[in-house]
Amino acid sequence: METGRFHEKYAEEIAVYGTPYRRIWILAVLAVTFVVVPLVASPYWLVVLTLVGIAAVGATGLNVLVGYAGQISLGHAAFAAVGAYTSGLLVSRADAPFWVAIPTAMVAAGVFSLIFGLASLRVKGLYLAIATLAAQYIVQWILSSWTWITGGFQGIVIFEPIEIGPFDTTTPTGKYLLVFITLAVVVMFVENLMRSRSGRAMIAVRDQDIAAAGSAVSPLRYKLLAFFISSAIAGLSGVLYGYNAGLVSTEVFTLALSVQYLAMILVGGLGSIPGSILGAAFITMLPIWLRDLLPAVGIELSASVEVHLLTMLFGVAILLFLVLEPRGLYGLFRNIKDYFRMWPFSY
Amino acid sequence: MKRKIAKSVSLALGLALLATACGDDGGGESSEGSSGEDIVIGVAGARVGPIANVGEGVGEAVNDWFEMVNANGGINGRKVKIEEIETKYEVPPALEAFARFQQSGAVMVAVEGTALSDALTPVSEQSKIPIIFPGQGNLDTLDGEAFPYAFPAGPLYAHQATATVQQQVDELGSDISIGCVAWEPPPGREYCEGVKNATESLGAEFAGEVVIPAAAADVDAQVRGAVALDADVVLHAAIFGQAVLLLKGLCDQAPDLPVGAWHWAITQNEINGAGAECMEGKFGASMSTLPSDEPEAVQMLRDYWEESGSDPNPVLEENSLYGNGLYIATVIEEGIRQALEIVGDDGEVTGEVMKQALESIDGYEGYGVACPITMSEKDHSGNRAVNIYEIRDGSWDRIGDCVTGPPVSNEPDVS
Repeated sequence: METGRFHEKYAEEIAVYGTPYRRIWILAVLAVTFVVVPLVASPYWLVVLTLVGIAAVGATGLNVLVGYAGQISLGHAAFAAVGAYTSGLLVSRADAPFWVAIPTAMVAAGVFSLIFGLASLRVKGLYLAIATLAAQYIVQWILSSWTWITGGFQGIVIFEPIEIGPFDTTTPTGKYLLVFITLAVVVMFVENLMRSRSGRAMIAVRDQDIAAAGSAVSPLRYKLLAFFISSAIAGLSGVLYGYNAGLVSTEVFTLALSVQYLAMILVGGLGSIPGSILGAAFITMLPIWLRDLLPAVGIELSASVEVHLLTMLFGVAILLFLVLEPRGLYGLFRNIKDYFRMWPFSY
Repeated sequence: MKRKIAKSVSLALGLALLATACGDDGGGESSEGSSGEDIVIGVAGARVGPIANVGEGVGEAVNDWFEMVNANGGINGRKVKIEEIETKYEVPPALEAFARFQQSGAVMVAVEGTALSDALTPVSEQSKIPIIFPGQGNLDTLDGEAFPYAFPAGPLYAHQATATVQQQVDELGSDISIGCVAWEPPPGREYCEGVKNATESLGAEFAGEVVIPAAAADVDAQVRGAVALDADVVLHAAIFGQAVLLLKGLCDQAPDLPVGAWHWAITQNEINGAGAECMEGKFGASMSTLPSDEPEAVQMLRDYWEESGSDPNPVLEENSLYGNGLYIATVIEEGIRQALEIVGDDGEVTGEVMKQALESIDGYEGYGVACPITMSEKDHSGNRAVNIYEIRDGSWDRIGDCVTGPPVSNEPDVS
């Protein structure tokens, strides 16, 4: 009978497959994600899951910075915008193929974020949050004012769909697969990053940057690396947004989106990849569940009353969740899992 | 052995992935109003968020209108089901809402807000469900061949601006300078670009532009900036609280300066907020006939409320916001009527039929709410005309009927 999980070697601690069952679980999740869902889900649910996937990519990126490196950003929507516009403009104006435009967009978003990442060497916490907020305002101003870049005040850049054989991003299935294949790659990358020297260095800087510096871990290098990787992934989520909607405009990447990314990782669980995905699903789908819940329990309200009630319920749900389970959804999931794993001696 | 299993699983996954990529996406519910059934219209609402007043006004009017239409037997016997889903003026919820409308069999979607109409334009084309967004949106969508399922169906921001400039030039002569105060998001900037464009076309002088940041709680700097333009007339594209602050500030610092507004800022809210004395002589443009003019559509609603023993909707007092909602509702009604003419009263209405129906609207005036609307396969503009109103004795008084300005230089040629 298992009474706990103990690692005797360092290699065991950083193993991807911590238990033999994990490999099966991962294969099962992949099979459900890439086979069952596209075959079974209705187009509506494919659209919803695609939105969850895009949010999960952005939230996973932010979790690298906030959860693993201990920095904060209120500018991730801006970095997503840099990625989206770079990719969209490269394809639409320079006729670049998407496989060139997407990595370039990620690099552009990452490099742009370094300007603000430099501030992290001098300021922390709320001060850094405000410094990254500047990124948000600067990008929004550029998008609405530099019309020679965006082509007009609306800043509309069309994303030509990707079509490779039967794969077509104009269909809900094509969009879903594009987003979830990308999410799988991002998850694999971040999972491995955190098992690498760089990942451990980021965690060391997060936990105690002076001690880390004393151990030959450069806070400058790893804070900037965290900013770069995190923002490049945010840029990727901006690109995915463009392919999903078919275009981007200046009013998409707002401060509200940056705050939502933060809410996702807080609700899901800081410093946890599954937490990022669960948080993205929670924040994206809770308004839908609440909206469908009222008629299901026989409450019929006028549109005007219903919308304000739902907005309030959404706020209350997040508040309750943060108070009752501060470790987030992934913490809750682990508690439940451990309870059953240890049963009948779960205490 | 383990590697072999892993390889086999990977291969199976890869093949399955290919199979799903080839899969059919038409597996969901159909997007059509089947024979004799209710016709479903989606409304991507925005009652919460930065354009909440617009969302409330438009949403209430559309719901009221179709409640009345259904109570009176529907359109040619077909009831209309309005399905409104809140978007908070954010794009991801709007994409989800559109997918839900599609699942519900909606044949057309009314969209509130330029950011949303922009975002939904590609998916409307992919799903062949028209979107309609009178009084908003961007100029490119006028071209029905480029954007076949997007229907502005009314004067866009630049058109509102050019018409207002035209009216001022007609009244004061071309020897005037006109300044503009823009709300920072694209609709506001596009309005001021329209003002600049029209002043140049009509031989007047463009005095300059002042921008109000989207979330500004104080507009004192912009008030001073507008006064410093030293213009003969200032037009503004501010909304709600910002519009009130701007008007109050201009009344304090330049009481004699003529000030005009776009169609989201000629509401009772401005009069109540800035004060009747301050607002006297201020003017603005509206794509709809204001409810305070009691057009036939408003009289029909009042009759319905009286007959059904309901109180009139208090949002009606918001004037242009509710009026613009009635504009949208009546265009939807006419679209459905034309669609039923195409397929017969019990026929199957689809998004493609609705597109064809909207493109056959000719000279429609929406029970006195709209200037004549005409659309074709090439031209989805509807019209480029606005009514001009001025505050006289504390209330909005119409001084210009269906005024049209010079064409905007960068609008697509849809002739």
